[in-house]
Formats: sequence, C-alpha cells, structure tokens
Amino acid sequence: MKQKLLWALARRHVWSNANSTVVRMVSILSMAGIAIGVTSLIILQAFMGGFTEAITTGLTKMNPPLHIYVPGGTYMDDFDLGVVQSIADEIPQISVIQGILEKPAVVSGAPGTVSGAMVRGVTGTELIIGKDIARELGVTAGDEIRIASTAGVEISGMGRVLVDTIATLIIDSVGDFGIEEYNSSLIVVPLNTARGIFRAPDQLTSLGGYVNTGEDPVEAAELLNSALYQEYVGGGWPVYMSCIPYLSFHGNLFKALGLERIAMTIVLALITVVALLNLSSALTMIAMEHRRDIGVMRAMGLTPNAVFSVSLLRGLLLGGTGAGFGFIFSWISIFVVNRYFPIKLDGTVYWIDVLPGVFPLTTALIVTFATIFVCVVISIFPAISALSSSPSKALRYE
Amino acid sequence: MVLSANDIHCSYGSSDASIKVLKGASISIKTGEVVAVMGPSGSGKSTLLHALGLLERPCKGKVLICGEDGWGLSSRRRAELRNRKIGFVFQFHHLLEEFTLKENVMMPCLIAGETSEEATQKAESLLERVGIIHRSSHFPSTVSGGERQRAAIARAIIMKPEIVLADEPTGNLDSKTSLEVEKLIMELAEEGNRSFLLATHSHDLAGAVHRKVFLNSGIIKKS
Repeated sequence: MKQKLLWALARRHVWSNANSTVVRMVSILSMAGIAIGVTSLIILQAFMGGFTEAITTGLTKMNPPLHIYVPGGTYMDDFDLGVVQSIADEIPQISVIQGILEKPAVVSGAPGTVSGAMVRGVTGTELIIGKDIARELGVTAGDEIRIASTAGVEISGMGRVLVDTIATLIIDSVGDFGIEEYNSSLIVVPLNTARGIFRAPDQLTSLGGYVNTGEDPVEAAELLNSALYQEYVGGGWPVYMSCIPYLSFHGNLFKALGLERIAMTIVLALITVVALLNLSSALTMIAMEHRRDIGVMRAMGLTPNAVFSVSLLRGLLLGGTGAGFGFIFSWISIFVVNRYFPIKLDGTVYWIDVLPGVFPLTTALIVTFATIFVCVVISIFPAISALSSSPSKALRYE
Repeated sequence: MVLSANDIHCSYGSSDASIKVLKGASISIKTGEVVAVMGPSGSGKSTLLHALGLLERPCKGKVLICGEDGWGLSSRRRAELRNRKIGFVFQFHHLLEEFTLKENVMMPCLIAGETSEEATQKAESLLERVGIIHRSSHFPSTVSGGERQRAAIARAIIMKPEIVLADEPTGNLDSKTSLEVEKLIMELAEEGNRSFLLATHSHDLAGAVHRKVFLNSGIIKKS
C-alpha cells in the first residue's frame, strides 16, 4: 500500500492539475525533450545501421566471405583450387572453397540493345542477370542474351591474335543483388560457361571461401592465410596465394561509416543531455512547488526515506515515460518511413536505392534504460534537497 | 499526561543574529483536555506547536508524547509517532491540492499502511461526521474555506490521535464559519476524549476551552 501511495504522490505531483497548469506543462515539455532525444538517437542508429547492413548484405550476398587471390593479379587454375581446398579441409571454420572466373564482356539482349557487363563464372549456379542490366537490355527470365568476349587468344600463322567469342545463352532468372553496381552490370553464369566464353578452360581469377554458420570470417581468413603462408614458406617457395575477408576490400568505407556514426551519436547524445538538464530543472521546480505538501505529509507521518523515494519516483516517472515514448515513437517512425515514405538514394553513388531503417532493438533498449537510469540519478539532488528541508520550515514559509 | 514539554528553547537564524523565540516554555496536557495557547503575533505559538508536534527540533528541552521522548527517537520512529499519536490542523488547512477531500482525509491511514478500503471507510465516516460527505470527491480548490478546514480537522483525527495540535484553526475563517469549526472541535474533543492544543487569537474559541495559557516573551504563563 505504501509503495502505491508513493507512486500516487509522485504521479499527482508531476501531473498536477489542481492549482496550476504550469507544473503539468513543465512535465510534458521535459518528457517531450527526453522522448525526442531518445527517438533521435534510436532513429540515427536505425538508419546508419540499416545503411551499413544493406551494403554489407549486398556485398556478402554476391561475394564469398573469404577472398583467396594471387597478389599481382596473376591468374589461378584448378591446381591452385585443389591446393587451397586441401589446406582448408584442415580448418574447421571453413565449409567450401570454390573457383571464380570473372571478366568484363559486352552483352546484348533485345534488338538494338548493348551494354558492358561483368560476367562471373562460379560452380553450381544458373544464369542470373542483374535486374537493372536486364531492364537496360529489355530481357527477362527465359529470354536470350548474347555475350561477346575478346579475351580469347589463338596462335595462328599471323602470330598471337585475339579471337571474338559470342555465346548465346538463356536467362534463368533476373536477380536483385542488393547493390546497384551489381544490379547494373553483373551476370552470373556457371563456371564452365564462363570458361567457354573467355576461352580459358582451366583459368580462375580468384577463389572464394565460405564459412560455417556462426563462424567469424575474419578469424577464418586469418587461419587460412596463415596456413597458406606456412605451406609455401615451409616448402621453400615464395608466398603465392593470400586470403583476406572479402569485406576488408571495403574496410575504409566501413571505417568512415563507423566514424560518422560515432560523431552523429555524440551530437544527438548531447541533445539528450540538454533534455536531461531540462528535466533536472523541471524536477527542482516540481520539488519546490510541492515543498509545503511534503511538509504536510511529514507532519502526517511520512518518513524521510519515503520523501526521498517520492522525489526519485518523480524522476523515474518523467524519465521513464519520456524514454518509453521515445522508444515507441522511434519504432513507429522507422516502420512508417520504411513502409510509406522510403528514403530514396542515388544507387550509382550510394550503391543502394533505398535507405533501409532497421530497428536496433538492443541499442534501443540500452538507450532507453540508460536514459531512465540517468533520469533517476539526476532526481537525487532534488530528493536530497527535499530531505534536508525541515517540515516546519516548509510549513512556516508557505 | 498525553503531552508534556519541559524547558523548550527555540531560536532562528545564525548564532550572530539569532532570534530566541522560545525561552524555556513548559506545558502539560492531560487526556481529553482542550487547551488554548494565546499570545500576540510573533510570540512563537506556531513554533511551540511545531516543537511539540515533533516538526521542529528545539535547541533545548524535552517533549514527551504519551511518555515517549519524541526528540530522542529515530526519525523513522518519530514519523510513526506523529502518524499515530499526533494530529495537525493548520491555519491555511494545508490540504494537498492534487487530492480530493476524501483522499486527503485518507492520507494518514495510507501512510500508516492501511488498505485503501479501510482508509476509505474511515474517511467517509469522518466526512459524514464533519458534515462534508457531499464534497468528498471535490478538490480543495473547489470548496469553501470552512469546508476545507473541516476536511483538515477530519484528516487530523482519522488516526484517533492522542492529541491534536491546531495552529489558529479559525484564523482564516469568517466569524460564522469560525463558530461552526469551534463547535466541531469541542464536540470532537468530547466524543473521543481527545486532547487538543489550540494556538489561537480568537477569544470565542479560547472561551470555550478547558484551559488557557499565554505565551509571552517565549515563556508560557498560566491564565
């Protein structure tokens, strides 16, 4: 009952409508400040995180997480693939190693259309064409495309000559690869088809490695790279192949995004700090406004601890309501923006066409509870002030 | 003795510019006795009541409430003593503006840890007794001064305290309402065999009590 009474006192104090609308207005403004601070912090994390996640997903969707290559750009072959496969078999984190042959080509689709494309040959795939290049070529699943390559080389009586290859292929599906750059230029074909187009029967441009579910690609890449190093150095050979996590190709981009996120988080956290300072003055004002009431309550037998609790509960109530509203508003805002007002981006600049907001539940909960905690902490000062004032003084000077 | 205070000294301000308000005031009140403390404004009547009611710690002196040394107790125990043994009525009623009259009257019971149902029952019965049951769901700002003071009196006696300390209970009321409140106080004192210590300027009220004392120059003088 006593707890219920303390909550009732705190609630009535912050929502006071008896003799003054000022207290209620101050409470509403303080809560609004906290709600805006929390909302802006969560929304920032949602869209910055959404952007990073969309790019990461786009990159990892189309590229194996481990990239094995020959420094200097020399081609690899099936023997190299076999070497890496045998080494990777000893590393439990790695599931599969596959060969990749990727080269530029010219593609045509509907009559009168032509476009440059990147043809990627991998094992175990069908022919998938990026949605934007498919649109540009006026083709869809089941249509024919012609891929022309000048990569073939033949020795003849005239010496080494480049030979054109034109392959006519049927599109199995049109794919959304997640990133505009891939959608507008990538065509994925079976490895043997690619080798036919480029007249390179044994050639590979790189190897890709996949990790088992839940494994860290960075750790797996380090293990494989170290094993490759040992293989060559141990055999008295110069290091030939290296392995890096694919995303490290874009390490600088992710570092820049991370830095921007930190900077914006600090700016928005400062807005929340301003809201908390505003709450602090509101709590002090509410405490002063109810000084006499606290004196009366003490005369009726309220203990000093209970007075202290009421002051803390005021902070908890205002901060909790504000932060709670902020949590809900941010969720609603992200949902509404994603659903009804998607933020369009120029895919040629940002890689993705739409900025996705991904509600960061863990971050949102941390922001909300941290704000509530700080609200309670800043209500300690008015609470101590209420304790130190004698009931007699509060009653006499009102 | 319900209340006994001996050699109470109170002063305000820093040591350099200290004002001595009470200079050895002593008073004793028996069960069921209604005593009026009279004296000019600024004579220290409110300070005396606050010291006796365990709201203002005196510089010197002892206050015994039902035999217990009020100022020798822990703050928690002192709060409990105020809740159970002492009732307060203030000149400006000091009702909590955010609560209805009924909720105001219920407050001491809720502080004591009684259930809402028990407190409601007691409050309604007292509001009925003081004649303002029809105003029970009204907020203090929407009722008259007399009704507020009746609610304040009901609040002061809901815990059936041994003594009620009333600081100019009629000081802010018109003469007709004052008379009604005075009558109510005397009736309640008689009904519950309850002691009242009233600080007042009102000769009408002082005329109705069992005993009058005068506070002058910080010392209590008998009538």
